[in-house]
Amino acid sequence: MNNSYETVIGLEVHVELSTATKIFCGCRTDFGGAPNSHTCPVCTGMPGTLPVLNKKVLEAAIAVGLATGCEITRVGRFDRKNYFYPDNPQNYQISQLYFPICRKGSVEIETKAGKKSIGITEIHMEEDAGKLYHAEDGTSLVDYNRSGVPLLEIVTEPDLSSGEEAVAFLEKLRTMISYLGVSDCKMQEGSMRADVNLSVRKPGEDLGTRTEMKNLGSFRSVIRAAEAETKRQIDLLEAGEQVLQETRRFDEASGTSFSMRSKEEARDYRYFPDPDLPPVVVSDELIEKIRSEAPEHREARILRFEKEYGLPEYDCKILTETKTLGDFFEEAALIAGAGDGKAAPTEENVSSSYKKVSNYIMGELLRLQKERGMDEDEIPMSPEHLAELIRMTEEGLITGTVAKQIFEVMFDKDCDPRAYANEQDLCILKNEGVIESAVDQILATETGPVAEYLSGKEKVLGYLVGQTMKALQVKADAGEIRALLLKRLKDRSE
Amino acid sequence: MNMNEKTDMNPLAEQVLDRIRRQEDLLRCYISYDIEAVRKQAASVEKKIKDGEFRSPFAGIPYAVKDNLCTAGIRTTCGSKMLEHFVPAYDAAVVEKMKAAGAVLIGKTNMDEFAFGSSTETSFFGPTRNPADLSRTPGGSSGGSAAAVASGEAVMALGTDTGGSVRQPASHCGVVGTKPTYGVISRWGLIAYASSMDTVGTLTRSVEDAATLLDVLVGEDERDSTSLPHPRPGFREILNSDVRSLRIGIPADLIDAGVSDPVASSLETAAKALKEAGAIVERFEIGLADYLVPTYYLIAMAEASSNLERFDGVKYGYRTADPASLSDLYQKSRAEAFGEEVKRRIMLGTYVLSSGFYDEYYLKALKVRRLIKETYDRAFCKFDCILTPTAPTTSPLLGEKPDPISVYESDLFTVSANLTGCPAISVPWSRDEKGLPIGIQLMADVFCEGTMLRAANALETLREVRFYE
Amino acid sequence: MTAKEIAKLAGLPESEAERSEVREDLEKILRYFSKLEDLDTGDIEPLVQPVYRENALREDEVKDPGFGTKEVLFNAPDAKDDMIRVPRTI
Repeated sequence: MNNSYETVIGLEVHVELSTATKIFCGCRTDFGGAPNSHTCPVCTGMPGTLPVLNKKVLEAAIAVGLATGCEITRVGRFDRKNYFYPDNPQNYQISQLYFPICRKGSVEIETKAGKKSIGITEIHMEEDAGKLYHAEDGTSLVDYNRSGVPLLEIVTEPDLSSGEEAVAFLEKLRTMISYLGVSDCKMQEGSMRADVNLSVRKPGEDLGTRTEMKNLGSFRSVIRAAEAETKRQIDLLEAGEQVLQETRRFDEASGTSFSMRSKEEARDYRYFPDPDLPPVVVSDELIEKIRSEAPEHREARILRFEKEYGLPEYDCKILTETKTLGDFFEEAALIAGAGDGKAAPTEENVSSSYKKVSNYIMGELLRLQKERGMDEDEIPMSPEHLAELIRMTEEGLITGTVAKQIFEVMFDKDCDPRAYANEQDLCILKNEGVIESAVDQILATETGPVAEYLSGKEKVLGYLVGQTMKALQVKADAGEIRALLLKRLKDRSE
Repeated sequence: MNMNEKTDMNPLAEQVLDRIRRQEDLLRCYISYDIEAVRKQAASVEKKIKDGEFRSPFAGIPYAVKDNLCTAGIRTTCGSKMLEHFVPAYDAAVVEKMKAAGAVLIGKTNMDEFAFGSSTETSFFGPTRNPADLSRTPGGSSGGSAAAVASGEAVMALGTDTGGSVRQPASHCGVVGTKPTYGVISRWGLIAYASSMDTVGTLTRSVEDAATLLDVLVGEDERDSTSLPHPRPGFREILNSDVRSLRIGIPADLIDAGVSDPVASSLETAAKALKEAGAIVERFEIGLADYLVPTYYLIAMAEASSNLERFDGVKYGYRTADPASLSDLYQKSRAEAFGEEVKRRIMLGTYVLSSGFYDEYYLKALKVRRLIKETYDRAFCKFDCILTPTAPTTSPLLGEKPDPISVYESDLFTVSANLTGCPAISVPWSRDEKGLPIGIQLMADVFCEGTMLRAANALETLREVRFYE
Repeated sequence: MTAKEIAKLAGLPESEAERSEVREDLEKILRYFSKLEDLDTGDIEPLVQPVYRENALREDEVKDPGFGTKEVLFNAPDAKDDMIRVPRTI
């Protein structure tokens, strides 16, 4: 990077699992709810309470471990991490240090520089803390609703060399995990959090002292923080000073970081096996069950879409950007490709339907999502309705332009397109009489252009077609109008 | 006051309340009790019995609960200033079971603070007196429960046993103290001292009552991850006193470590009585005698230091006035509300878990624990029960401040049951020249309560010394 | 590890560890624990729980605990806006 130093980054990623209940008690994990209402004696650290592990958390951990090529620990344990802090009701966090559920995996990332394998040191299960709020009177307030929400912590080897690589890793991880359906991994919402461990060194040297950066709220922050910290460390070293091992807090607004040293001093967590939780024994059968039940991952889906829907790789990559988007495409495509049940579908019709669905998604859906600041995951219309819309265009019932209008309405309120078209009177006019009288009307009023056409200016035809379309409120087929105009004009010239 | 002898439910509660009225100010068995609430409860239960709603043998029976077991709506203090005003919103699992059986809760009994102790003298609420001799301790930490049963201020009581805290006070007060296999009674609502050793236990006046009570309390609980189903439940049904061919071992190296003369002779007469009843009694060497107590205390203090972290003045319990900062709040609340023994154990527990010492102390103790477990596994291949005194001496005088290590070492006979998870029971057998009770302990392999209770019942049947007027 | 550091980790004021009789007791008891070094434990596996069981797992189903904001605040020494109040955290 700069000055012949290389940057060495390792990530600690916390992923909030989307289970219905917390990791050690049956409290709900959904957001909302009055402060301290999604609680019970366990997750508020009441005396005499005990933890019981949520089966789904274990299964999710194994699923993520398998997807990242990890060894699954056959006999694992939970350990207590002891420290006093108000968001931690027992003043210890139940985590895994000595025998984490997964170890030694890897994830392949791709950046401009090419492909690279990033090592996963370990993955473990742990509980989240409650939330603290600063009150205006200078005190802090504690809400235990989030206390006990299940987390997976994924720790990488220091194999990343830049903020861009770190983000590539996070994006890949997010795709993998959301495809498994165990978390939606949204940094902005806090369901995926990344701490960046960074050090610098001259090539060939030993690893330098590393710092830990917290409070990164987006992929962009990760890149900014990595750049800023690299520079800060290089500046220190160049000035003959040392980099201190510390935890720093990134500030979004200024793009700089501040030392949190005072909090981190003398933190001996005294990890020891939690005697309230028996060993976590994972059998071959359980691993096989999870492996075989794992949903299709993205790479496999891209290949399958290419094959089954005859779409180019480029399209398939976009359509599989998220699992939700791919699911939507597939449902809509299958309905559209099935036809209306009247005529037997031909190969050509079917693949043309598939392509139409794909085009609508890539062209219209993604555009509207971007315009409205939505995620690819947010698809506010049903696949049945999209398939229906496409069928309507294939039937010649509406024009392409009208179809796009209806699409946007469906995006906003997911209405039935056929009903809407009828209601709003958007269907192409089949009534010859109406079209004929419109054409005649235009020919009668647009005397100037008509004369121009008859005198040889053929281009004016387009204008006449346009005017007729306008008069008919675009509800007629342009080709038909053009043909009719030509006929009338020819008649006139004779 | 055996349940088989009662004919009318109502007078029992009245009798207990009468005893309380006459003696409680002196004995101080209870931290909390409410006479009116007891009367109402007893009357309501009485009606339900008449309506056929309760058919358990405990319906209407007055019982007491050690104050480290949560009782919904009733303050639960653990004998500490830290929880002096704490009222839980939930019942401990064992309290739920007693309620369902129709037992009548008298009150919460006194205990060493957070169960750290062997004399009930560390209670914030002051000590309990031994009914057998008012100048002496009732033992601990379940001293209040043992004294209540011994003095008739309860027909039976629940306690907790982490290193002997049910059996030793039973021995000192002259009642039956039973600790079942670890995990067969739910720990839900038991305010934790040492999670891998805490066991709910019973204080009763007879082995038969103990067996019947265990039948009510035993059962897997999905709220407790360490709880297990008992493979052979139904202890009352199989209870008899037939000890013919029962193989009983006496660990000579433990006894030789030092017991008082009266205790030594008590053990001898107990062994003789069992032999004459047909048991095969043999002396053997258990090995590891010097390591039982330090291993126990090391592990117990480590777990306790973590379990007591939640008592921080933040969410419940005592909070210091005007803390200047968050760390002030933690440190002052804990310093002001915890007694000396609690603070000492917390610091020691923190030390043995700390970085640099973890391997040498805590991990080492866990390894020795496995050695001890294997030792007892081998012993239980040769013997059905292991027979020892419950305590090396009779009850000490109140107010003596012995050196902590000698106090710890008095747990020599009881800690192995907690380290190994084995069941053990203390049966009152004799008295010393001052009339102080001496208990004899029987220990069996895990899940072998049936055998253990049978041997204990035999001892009780063979006993010549009178207990309970 | 100094006595002061221990006290701090244990959530107690440093003064608690500084009292001489406390330090003596602590040292004495730690020496007592050191007796365990006499035993050769080699590679033996540590025993955490005395009676073996594995995998106490719970279904991922919401359970109504009959407990909520009211119960959380009931024993709270200080609260505001339905939350527990403490001095400012860092």
